[in-house]
Amino acid sequence: MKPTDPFNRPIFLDLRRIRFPVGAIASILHRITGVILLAAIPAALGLIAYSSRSPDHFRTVARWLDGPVIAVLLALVMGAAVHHLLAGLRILFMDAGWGVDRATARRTAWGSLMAAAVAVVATAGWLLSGGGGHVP
Amino acid sequence: MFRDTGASRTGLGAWWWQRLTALYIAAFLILGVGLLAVAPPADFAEWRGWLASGGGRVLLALFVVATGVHAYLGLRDIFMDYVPTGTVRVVALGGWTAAVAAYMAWGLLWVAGL
Repeated sequence: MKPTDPFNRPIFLDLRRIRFPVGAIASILHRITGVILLAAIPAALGLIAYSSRSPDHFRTVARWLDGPVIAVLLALVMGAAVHHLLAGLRILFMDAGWGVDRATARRTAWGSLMAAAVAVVATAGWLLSGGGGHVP
Repeated sequence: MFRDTGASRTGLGAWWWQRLTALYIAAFLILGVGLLAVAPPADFAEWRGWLASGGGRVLLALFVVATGVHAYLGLRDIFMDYVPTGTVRVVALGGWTAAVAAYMAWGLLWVAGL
């Protein structure tokens, strides 16, 4: 479908050359992390359900979740969750009238990105250093 | 049959539900992940005890419903923004609705059987 414009204005949609303001980056990441969580949360609930069946199932899930690859994956999911949560709270505060001005909106957008990065590094570091415990 | 009304007539109710479910999900995950990080269950019996307790079941059932509703609205908005109107969107929204219904049915049956 071609974009239609009765005023025949120029259209520039080269995503590689458009520079986005930080609010736009936080906004699209809110969507992308939402889609990631769409997969992650049912998967997590599925694992919880499986682990609740018997001690053997419980140990099996613990074994699945042990290891460096899954630690990095879990850290990325944690980052997605932290960003989605903070970007959502940012919008809730905006609904209430707080943080709507540009300076504050830019600061909170940066904050949601930085907190997600910190969450990824902290979770990965904690899990990789054995913080979550290991399967005996 | 799924009737595609586009963005019309679905506004304020959806807006409200998205925020209400967001608050519950946020509280559940912050408290739940916090509890698991600070005082993880020692063994299967304790883990099972948490999940199958009266309070645990209610909180889990609400979480299943809240995440289902929240995800339904979120992806619905994404479809309405990026998927062309017509058959493609009707199929996408219909399939998505069925997927969310299946998720919630599975989740509630699991919680009921705990």
